Amino acid sequence: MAESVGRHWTMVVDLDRCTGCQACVVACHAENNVPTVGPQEVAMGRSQHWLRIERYWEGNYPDMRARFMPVMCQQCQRAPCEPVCPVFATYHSDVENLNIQAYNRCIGTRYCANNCPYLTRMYNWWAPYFPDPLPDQLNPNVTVRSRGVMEKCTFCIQRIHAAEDRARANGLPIEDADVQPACAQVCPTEAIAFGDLNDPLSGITELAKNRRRFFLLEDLGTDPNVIYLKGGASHAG
Amino acid sequence: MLGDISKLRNLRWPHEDDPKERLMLDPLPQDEQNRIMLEPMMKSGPGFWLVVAILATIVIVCLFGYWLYMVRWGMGVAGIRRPVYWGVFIATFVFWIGISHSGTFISAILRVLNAEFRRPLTRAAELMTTFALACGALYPMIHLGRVWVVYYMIPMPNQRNLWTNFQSPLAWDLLAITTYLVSSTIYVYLPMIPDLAMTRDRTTGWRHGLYKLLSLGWRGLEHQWHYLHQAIKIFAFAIIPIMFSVHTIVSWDFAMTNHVGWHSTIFGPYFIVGAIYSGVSAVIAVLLVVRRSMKLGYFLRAEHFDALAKLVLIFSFTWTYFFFNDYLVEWYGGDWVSQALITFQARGPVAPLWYAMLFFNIVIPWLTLWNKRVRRSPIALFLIAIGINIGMYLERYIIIPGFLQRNSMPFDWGVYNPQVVEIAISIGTLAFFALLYVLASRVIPLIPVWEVIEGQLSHTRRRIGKVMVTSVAEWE
Amino acid sequence: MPKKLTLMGLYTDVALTGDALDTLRLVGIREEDMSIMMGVPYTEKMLGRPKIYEKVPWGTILGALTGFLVALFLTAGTQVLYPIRVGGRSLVAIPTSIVVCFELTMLGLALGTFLNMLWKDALPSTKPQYYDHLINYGRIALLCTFDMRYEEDVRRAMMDAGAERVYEPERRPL
Repeated sequence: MAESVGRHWTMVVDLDRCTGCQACVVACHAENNVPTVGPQEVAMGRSQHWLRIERYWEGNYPDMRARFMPVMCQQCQRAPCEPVCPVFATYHSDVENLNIQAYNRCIGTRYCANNCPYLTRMYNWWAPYFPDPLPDQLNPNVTVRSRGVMEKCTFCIQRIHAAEDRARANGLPIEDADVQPACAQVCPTEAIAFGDLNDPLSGITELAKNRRRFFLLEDLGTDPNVIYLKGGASHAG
Repeated sequence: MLGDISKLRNLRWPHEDDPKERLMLDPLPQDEQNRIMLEPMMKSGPGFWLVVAILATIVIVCLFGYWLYMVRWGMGVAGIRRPVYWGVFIATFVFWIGISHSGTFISAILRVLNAEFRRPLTRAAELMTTFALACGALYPMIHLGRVWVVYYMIPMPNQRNLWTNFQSPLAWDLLAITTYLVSSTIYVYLPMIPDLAMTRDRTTGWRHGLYKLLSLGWRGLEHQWHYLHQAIKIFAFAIIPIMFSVHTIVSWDFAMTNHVGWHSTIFGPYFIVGAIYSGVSAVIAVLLVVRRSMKLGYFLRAEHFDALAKLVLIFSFTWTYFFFNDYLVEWYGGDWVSQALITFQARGPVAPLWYAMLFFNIVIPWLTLWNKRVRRSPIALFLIAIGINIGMYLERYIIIPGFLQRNSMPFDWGVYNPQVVEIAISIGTLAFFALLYVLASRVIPLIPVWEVIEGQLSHTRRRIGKVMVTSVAEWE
Repeated sequence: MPKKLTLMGLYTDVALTGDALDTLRLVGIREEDMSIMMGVPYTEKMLGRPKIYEKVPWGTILGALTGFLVALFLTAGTQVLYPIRVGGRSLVAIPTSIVVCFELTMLGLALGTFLNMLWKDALPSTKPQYYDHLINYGRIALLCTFDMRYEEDVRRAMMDAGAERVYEPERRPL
């Protein structure tokens, strides 16, 4: 393998731009082979969205406002989910500097999910079912997980790897435009931005210095790689 | 109606004043004691086999049947969900590990403290430990999503060069439960060897073959007794820290997380005290049944249950202290997530269970166990002991799936409704425990007769002033 | 080599057994040629016998040490050999290693103690041995091995001390 450059993949979510349209959620499902679980399971609380739009209501009728916040795996530098997995199914990769979930190692204790303060980890309660013609739409670059296995947002690591391979093949450094997770690609208001914080030429570096920035549940010390931007009263969009 | 009440009264033991009421002052010849213990083991009537058949059916249907069903279709058949990823299975797991502290407390701590009333109780209690651990050890497998690869957790060289993550409390669980299971099996086996030799000498047929194998050719030579004593003494001292560490490590499954209500430094001792509390109560309940069904009234007397009940009362105080400690600190803290959790317990969907827990664990024992007549009434003690176990199970249920229902992201709060599968499997392990114990009671001599006789030889009555007192000799 | 004879005497009381041991010593039988079998652990002092046993439980110590070394390998060794980083922590965390070391040391200690006892007691033994069922009926058996020429003296000594029965035992499978 060629020399591994220390990346610091960071996502910036601008809550002032988020309209709660859920296009990112759908795109994530499509890109990462995330199954739909059906209304009964969702009613039981088993919705399976790697990226979910949290909606909080403010005020009383008729002066109500909906606040939106897209929440996905924060790819914490000091992830609480990692030390508790007894089989090393989730660990921190030194190369991509991301929290990795190894599906074929997971034995399904669900300890990591209990320890994620952002509740971003999703579990395959049943064998995932893709009714016809959805199997035709599955992304060949991403594993389809079996039941009993934990999964979560990976910052579209398959796209990161593809971009790294292309850049290495072409002998050029990676640029912002080369790698975009599905959610960032599809957002109509460009609320989600993605890039390498270690790259001084990346647009992320400017966004990350924005004075509207905050981290989710910052006092827990998880050191997340997702930065939220919000000006104004409340923290949700 | 009056007729029924008088029958109840007959179930009480006579008052304590007569020294013959004490086992240690009422010696019988060794062979007579052996006979009392052996007779119920040999005779198994149709009632016994009916109980075994019922228990075996429950085990096959509830434990194996439902478990296989869950393995076939997935964890989705259970009630667990986001954010309550651990539910009844883990609550029952902690319950069984708690019960397992019963035996060790009685056979190790009381032995180390030279408490004479432990003498007839040690083996029956220690067997409860072993079987409770066997039941509890099933749960780390039951609750897995992919139980067919559970061996990934075992540290052994493999082609992928992947070892166990020993920073994970679940890996510590694996080590701790294995250590405790091995130690407690050896610890119940060691003092059993002389009794197995006795049964070897007094039985024929398949029993003789089995006991011959298990007694390892024991003959009662001096050096054999010496090294046996040495080993038992080492075990008695060593198994106490093992026992403390096991339940501490199980509590660390929760305390090591950053979850509200779980991330508490008090969980270690809190769970240990809770374990001994529910464990000793379980011993009382089980031994009352054993005493009745196997007619071991010579060995298991009012004094023993009286002493155990006093212990239960003390542990009720201790548990309440730890519970209040944990609760008050959360209540006083002020951060909104903890406040949400406090409200959840007192007024949320688990509130009835929370109040029931306080009722069974605090109100009933504190109102009853100080009274000697209650402590010497088998029926009352049995009900109180079962109540305490129900209360302690509720405590684990509230802490595990209960606390998980609240967290720092209110959009992701959830309600947990246990499903049939979870309840069935839990009942299945209860039946499994009972089945193991019932079968063992016919194969393993439940009373350590040599220890009882050792105690009886040490106890005499002598006169101090105008009164006759009991005097205990020290042998070593 | 003078032919040896073994006799077994059954006594109902520990005091009588102690007296019998004294008498046999006077007759000239060595301490190591006499052995006692009992169903209840009377102490050596009660019988008037010397207590020469290995005081240090070597098996226990060895077992504990083995457990500790295995624990060190599992926590530190595997991470040094095949490092996987979790939670932003160092590869070998001492607090968590302490937990693992404690558990495996205790496991080694338990197994070591058990094996130590089996080794010292020469168990399991499957060979036919001298034994009498009556040991479980409250008797204490006194076995002595001696030169055949003194059989009369020894028998008399054992009977005089109050034996219930003195006879020449056979080695039988237990």
